[in-house]
Amino acid sequence: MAMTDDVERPTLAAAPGSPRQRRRLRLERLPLHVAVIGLALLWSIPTIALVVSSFRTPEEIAGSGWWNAIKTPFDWTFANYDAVLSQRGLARAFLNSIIITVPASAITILVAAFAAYAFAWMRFPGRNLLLLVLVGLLVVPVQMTLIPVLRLYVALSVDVEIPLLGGKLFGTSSYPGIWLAHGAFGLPFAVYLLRNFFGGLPRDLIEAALLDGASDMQVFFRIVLPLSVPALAALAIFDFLWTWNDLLVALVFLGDPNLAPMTLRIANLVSSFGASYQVLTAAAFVSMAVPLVVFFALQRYFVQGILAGSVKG
Amino acid sequence: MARISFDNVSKLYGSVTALNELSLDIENGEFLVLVGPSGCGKSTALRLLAGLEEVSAGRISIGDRTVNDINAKDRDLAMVFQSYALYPHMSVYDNIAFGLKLRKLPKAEIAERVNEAARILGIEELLKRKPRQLSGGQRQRVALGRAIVRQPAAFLLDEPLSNLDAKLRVQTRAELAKLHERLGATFIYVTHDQVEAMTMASRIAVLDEGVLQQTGTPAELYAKPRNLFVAGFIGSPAMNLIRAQTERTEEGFYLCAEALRLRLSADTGAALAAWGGPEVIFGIRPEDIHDPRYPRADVEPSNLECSVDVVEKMGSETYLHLRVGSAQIVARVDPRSEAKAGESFTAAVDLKNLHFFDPATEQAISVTNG
Amino acid sequence: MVGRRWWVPWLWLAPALILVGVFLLYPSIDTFRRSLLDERSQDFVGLDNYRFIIENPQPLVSNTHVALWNNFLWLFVFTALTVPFGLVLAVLTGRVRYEALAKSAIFIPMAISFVAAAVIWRFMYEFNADIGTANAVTTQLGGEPTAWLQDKHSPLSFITDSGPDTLPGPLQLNNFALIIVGTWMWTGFAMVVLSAGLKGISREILEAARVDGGNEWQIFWRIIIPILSPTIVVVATTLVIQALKKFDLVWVMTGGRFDTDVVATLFFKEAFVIRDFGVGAALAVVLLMWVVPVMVISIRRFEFQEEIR
Repeated sequence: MAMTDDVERPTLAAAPGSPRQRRRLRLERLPLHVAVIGLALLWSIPTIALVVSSFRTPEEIAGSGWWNAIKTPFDWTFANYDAVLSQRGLARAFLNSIIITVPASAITILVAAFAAYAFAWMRFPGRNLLLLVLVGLLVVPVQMTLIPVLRLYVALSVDVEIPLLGGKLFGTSSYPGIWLAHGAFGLPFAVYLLRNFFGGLPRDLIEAALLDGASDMQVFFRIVLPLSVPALAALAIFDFLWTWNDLLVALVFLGDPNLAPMTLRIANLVSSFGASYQVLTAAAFVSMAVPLVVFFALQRYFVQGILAGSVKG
Repeated sequence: MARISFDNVSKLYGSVTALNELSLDIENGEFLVLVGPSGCGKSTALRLLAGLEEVSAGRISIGDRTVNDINAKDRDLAMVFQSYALYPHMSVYDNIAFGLKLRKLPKAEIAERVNEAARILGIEELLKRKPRQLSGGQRQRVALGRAIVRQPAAFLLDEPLSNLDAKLRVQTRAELAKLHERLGATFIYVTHDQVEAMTMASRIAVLDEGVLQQTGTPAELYAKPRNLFVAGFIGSPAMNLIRAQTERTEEGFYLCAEALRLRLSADTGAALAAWGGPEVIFGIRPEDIHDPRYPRADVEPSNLECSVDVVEKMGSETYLHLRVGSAQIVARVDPRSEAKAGESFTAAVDLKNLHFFDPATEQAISVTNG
Repeated sequence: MVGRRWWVPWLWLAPALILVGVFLLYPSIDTFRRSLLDERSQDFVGLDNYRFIIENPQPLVSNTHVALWNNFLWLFVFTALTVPFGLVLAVLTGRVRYEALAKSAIFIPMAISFVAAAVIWRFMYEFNADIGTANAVTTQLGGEPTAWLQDKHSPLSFITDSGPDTLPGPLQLNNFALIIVGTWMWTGFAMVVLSAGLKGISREILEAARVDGGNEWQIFWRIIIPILSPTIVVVATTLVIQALKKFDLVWVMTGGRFDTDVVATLFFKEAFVIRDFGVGAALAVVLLMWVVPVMVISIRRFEFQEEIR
């Protein structure tokens, strides 16, 4: 069947125009650039202050504003970083942060995605009420759950040492224990975000896959998840950051200092160095490094709308 | 491939009846078009057959198998969606191959089938592209390709042409008909456009408000609409429908409505008299109203006095919008006609092709005239 | 879909329901139970703990009225600042070539733990104008240095210099100073989520609007905002809930002193410092109840989404 080739529509985007037009366009865009750069700078001021301060001596920090360091950039010091990085166990704390954060975020995302798929694309009695309760638990403050969960963990403790990883198999001072706790605390938001995103996928796509012979699992893994990469990336970033920066849960559930994450280590640093800003600023900057890498690695997924071209309208 | 049947199938959404006791048999290899205005239940019927919705009452079977409780994926049907529903993250090749991969066919066979489908549809060069890099027409063909490779028991097509521009739609219409012939498969095609139904269908089923109105070949539906709805829906321009009284005078039978006065043949008059009540709705297709100066050969004319509102010259024919009292009718006349807007005009009505309907039941009245 | 067994959805939900049940629902129910018991969770006291919250008998130790009011303030001001900032930034950054860079600058505060953020902002709010950035700017503009985190004046009196000099004005400067830190941290969140939604709007729609002669302003209000409204609701809901249970920031920066307590910090004080678990639990229950209307609105939206797709 010889169908005629209909011609590709020309793109409206790049019409070069004359140099004068181009110059006018550039002028029109000036306020845009001013606004973007201005806001970005405004937002960066505290961070810049942090970074700059982390390279200054305690006397300088106490004596003059951080902006003075930018004027005379030559008396910067690495002493603060030396102090932070020479802490014993810091490498292990860094590793602990990763051991805690990666599985915990993975649990949240996977479990939430399963639930969100059921909420978005299956019909069952009590669906909306259940969603209401589940997402409503978003408001439960973590502090509120600590005592009951702690009591539960003590009761269910399994005192078997996990090889390589360290810590108990379950209970307090165990990685699985804190994975599940973090995994659960992240769920309401994750379900809410993913339910919204999944629900916005075109119904036709799901149905086409079902007719193509896909099971629920296949629809989920081969259609829904690939199409939800932007939402999953966003969720991964947020969940990673919240878990990485958590102090309270680690404080309560990880008694063993060998299992403690960076935040706990830094908090201890604060108490041993007192209110010495300079060390804390350096430590804060070290702890930010991984979240920033994660953010830069995943942020390209926000840049392109992946749904373009699937269905019309 | 197998015969598909709907047996008293109903679908309710809450208290709304989307489909009311549909009974319909679709033979192997048919090109059946479900046609009707939006909300008539045609898409619901298709989705019930596909297994995307659950039947509220009745039975759907494919071959000997009742499929009411069978998964969509196990019904061996392929569907082309109005939106095309291409998987945006897969290449054209992967889109077409998806169903075969899920069925775990050997790689070589998948490649063979995909290439064959691509060849049939003329999209071989597009296989590596992503859907967003395709034009509307190309996407539509990919959607068709996805269905073809499956070699399903039947193809379900849900308004597949409505996102194409007018020219492409006409072209694709002919190509779909050819494709049907070539594959010899059952096509079940849903559309609101009666032109698509008339041009492609081997059989049409007209639905309105969830109720099946009539089934038949395009010619049957056109010549013998069973009720007022089908009469008005099939044909373009639509059949002229006018409420009138039958009158018997000494000269013979007349149809009267305000300014309209049309003399009927004796046979027709007798049949109407036998039917009963004086009030009828009569229908006449535009091509059965002629300019008396350019009559067609086999016409049994009766004169109708009217005035001309608008003249539309199409080249091959001319449409006259005529006014008879408050009734407006459209005539499709010989292009040489010299009728002018604003003038009065005597139209010749072909008495052999009049349709009559009971105003109460809206059913056709048989007058056995041709 | 036809032929899906009734228990299949429950299988998909099971992991989430179990986790949430153990870690969130069970503690919530337990808390509700304790809100009806005395401070040691032993004797039933009826609604006494709730009466304590309403009557506020010990304003110097734990001022429930201030906490409730501040939560209210956080809810509105924090959301009203963060959502528009996030939206504007999502739209603006999407139009420049250095999008990734600009977004990173806005987003970085999210990556900072609240301990570090508190350190930074104590710095920013330092009273000494030689060190504190905010006061350095204020004095440069000819103003007087302010103790941002302690000052209970209304921000209006600060600007006009003519308002009443002392307590308590329900709008306290230090609360706004805290909310600004919250906004600084969370605008990146709003921007990223809204930007993801923005990228989902098909270019054709925007181009069609431009061809129809819409200027950018009209396109923003009449096309982008309506299409984006589901995402805006998600962001706003999340921020409202964040505001409701705001704890860490306030706890680290002021510890709730100078009338900056919110319900969550007061809960922490009652439960872990004063050790009156009854009142603490009742405060937590009050917090839970605040969110119900928000969630009902969200669920309505889910149902609406169902109808239109």
